[in-house]
Amino acid sequence: MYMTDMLAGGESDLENTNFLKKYGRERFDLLYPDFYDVVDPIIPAERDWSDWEVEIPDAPTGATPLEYTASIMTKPDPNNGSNNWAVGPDKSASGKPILANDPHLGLNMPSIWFAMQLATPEKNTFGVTLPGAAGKVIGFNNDISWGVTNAQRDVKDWYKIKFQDENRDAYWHDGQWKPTQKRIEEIIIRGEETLYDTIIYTHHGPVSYDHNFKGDGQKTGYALKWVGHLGGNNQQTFFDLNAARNYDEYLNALKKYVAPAQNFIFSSAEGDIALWIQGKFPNKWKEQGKFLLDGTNPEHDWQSFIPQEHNAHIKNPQRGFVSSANQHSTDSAYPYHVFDDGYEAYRNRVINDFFRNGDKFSVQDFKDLHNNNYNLMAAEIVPTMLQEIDRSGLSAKELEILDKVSQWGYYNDIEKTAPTVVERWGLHLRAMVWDELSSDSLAMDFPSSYQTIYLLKNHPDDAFMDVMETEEVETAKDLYLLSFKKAMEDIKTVEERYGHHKWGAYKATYVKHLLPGVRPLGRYNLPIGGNRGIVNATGRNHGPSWRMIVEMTSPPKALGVYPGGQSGNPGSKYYDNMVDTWAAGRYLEIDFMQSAEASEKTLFTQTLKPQP
Amino acid sequence: MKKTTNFVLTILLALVFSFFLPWWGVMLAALLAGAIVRLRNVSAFFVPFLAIALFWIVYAWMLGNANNFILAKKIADLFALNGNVYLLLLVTGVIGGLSAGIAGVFGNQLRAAFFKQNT
Repeated sequence: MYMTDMLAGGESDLENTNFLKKYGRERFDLLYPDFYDVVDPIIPAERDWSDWEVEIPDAPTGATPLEYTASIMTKPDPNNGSNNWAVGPDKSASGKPILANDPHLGLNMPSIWFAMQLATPEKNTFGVTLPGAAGKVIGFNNDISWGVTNAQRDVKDWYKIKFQDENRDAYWHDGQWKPTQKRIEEIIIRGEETLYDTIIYTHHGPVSYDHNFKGDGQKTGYALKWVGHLGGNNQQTFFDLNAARNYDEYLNALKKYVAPAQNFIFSSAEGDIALWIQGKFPNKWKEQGKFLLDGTNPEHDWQSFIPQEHNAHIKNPQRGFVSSANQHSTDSAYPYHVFDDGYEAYRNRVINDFFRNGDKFSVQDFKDLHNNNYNLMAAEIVPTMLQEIDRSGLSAKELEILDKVSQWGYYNDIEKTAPTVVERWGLHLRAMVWDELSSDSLAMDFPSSYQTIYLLKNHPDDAFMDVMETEEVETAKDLYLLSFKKAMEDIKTVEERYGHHKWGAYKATYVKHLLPGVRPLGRYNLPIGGNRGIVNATGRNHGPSWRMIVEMTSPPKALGVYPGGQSGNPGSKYYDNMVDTWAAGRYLEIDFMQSAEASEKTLFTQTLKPQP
Repeated sequence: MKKTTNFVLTILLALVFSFFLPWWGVMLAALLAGAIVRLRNVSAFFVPFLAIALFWIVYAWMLGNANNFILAKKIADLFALNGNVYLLLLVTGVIGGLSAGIAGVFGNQLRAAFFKQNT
């Protein structure tokens, strides 16, 4: 459930509702569009959906409740994301499919992943698993390999509930009072009295915002509808994937999977590649669940689910490769309504361009792409910033720094200084554009980086460009200078600390122990480039938590590495022995044993004998 | 002679207690040894101090040696000892020694309080 919330917990219904009520429809559509002006979706545009018979519920007439919600529950880290890609036989230098996956999570020790091989007389499989999971989550066997990235889909909706009275024993729905169900949760707190909390359930789900928690009315509340509450048997999917031998068995394994929705990538020794966006998805009317819904109106309920066989997918596409990086599942041609506000817009384009612009690819190319530090976001906005900024008042040193940025080339490599300047510059710029939202007492999301850049380039005189605390009315041009000045103050601080402002020192990536306050048990100041939004998505304490490349030869040749070690014991040399290999962008060759015989690579053998 | 006896007895008792008592087993060992074999003046403190300091340093060294002091270096970092394992062993010895020394003096005094005729 924790993993489900981390990966399928993102939604902004209440923030969106706040924004819509305050700024209106036109502003909302400009800043939070369903699709960006440039979309490079997971399922390529070549996919034709026209042979499907699709039924989509009609949007009900009448308005959705427009209500202000001041404070909102904590959300999962928006940096959680991943990459995966695979090339088919036609695009592979060896003629065998190659597949790669790197899930981006918080960097912690002991590592979240544990690599292992599981073999029985019938089956043999290798991969990484999570504590508590049976079988591998990402891995391969002699016939297939598979990987996952998170599918950013809105599967969490909020319903405004109207209670009959302050006892909240009944709520209004479909023209009648319906009884609520109450469940008392016992929360034991060490050193304090046990807390008993009454949770009220409607048919939508639990009422999570009420008068006790962040709500304000006695007779209203917001109930949560979430696919994470539907149950299902996700474990079976992974069990079956571990044993799958071909595309059909992969597909059968996926069918049981509910949440968190994942982009399941696949390749087989037979030469198939495929990608399914699998999860249980409500079949929504247009914009259902983008904003707060009316819990009294049955037309606002989830009407049905998208049939599993209509989940977006592609097998052996003409372009010869499949990939996903948390971007849009499809373009707008996909017949079902899809909305989420957390789509990635940069890693996907770098990955897809990489494969579009080449003929054949080898394992070495896959390694290079994992470690690719190209900052596409910077490449798209920095030229404008450099061109527009007013240089008349800048000092010689500031001009020199700007000069370095203009010669940069947009790679976030550790020895470069420009990435640090652009990072601080961009951060202040973004904060200045959206100061109207951050200073508001209502919770509202900043529009995505992509849309912020779109606004800066296409609407430089937009009202949001104004900085509220100044008398003047600013435009984008003014913001470039103001934010640059602020960035220069930061650079000064960085230089005081390190004597320079190179990206590696400034970013100072670390892998920390899960317990707070035990810094020596973690690894700090790791020399690794990249950043969020870059294919090498290594931020300060977040990034590729497992990197795997599998070539479907017989037996498969595989590489893997993660920032940690196989032992959770800080006194073991295997506690952190992969960290430096990982930071250097190198891999360990996986010894995928084909028999139980010990080889010269075997460190030790342990035999467990069941009691007779 | 009495000093050697107290020294050996303290370590032996501490060793036995370490199998079933937490760290304060060394205090109980020093207390009992102090009550059984009485020492005069400062040696009532320093003999158990040295006994347990030695016991803990040797034991800690053995534990650390088993993993090439990987963990000891990290703990020495955690205690702001700059990763210096020797300093960590010294600190270990002093902490054990202080607890045992105080307990030894206490044992000595208990004996004096309850069995006056022996003094």
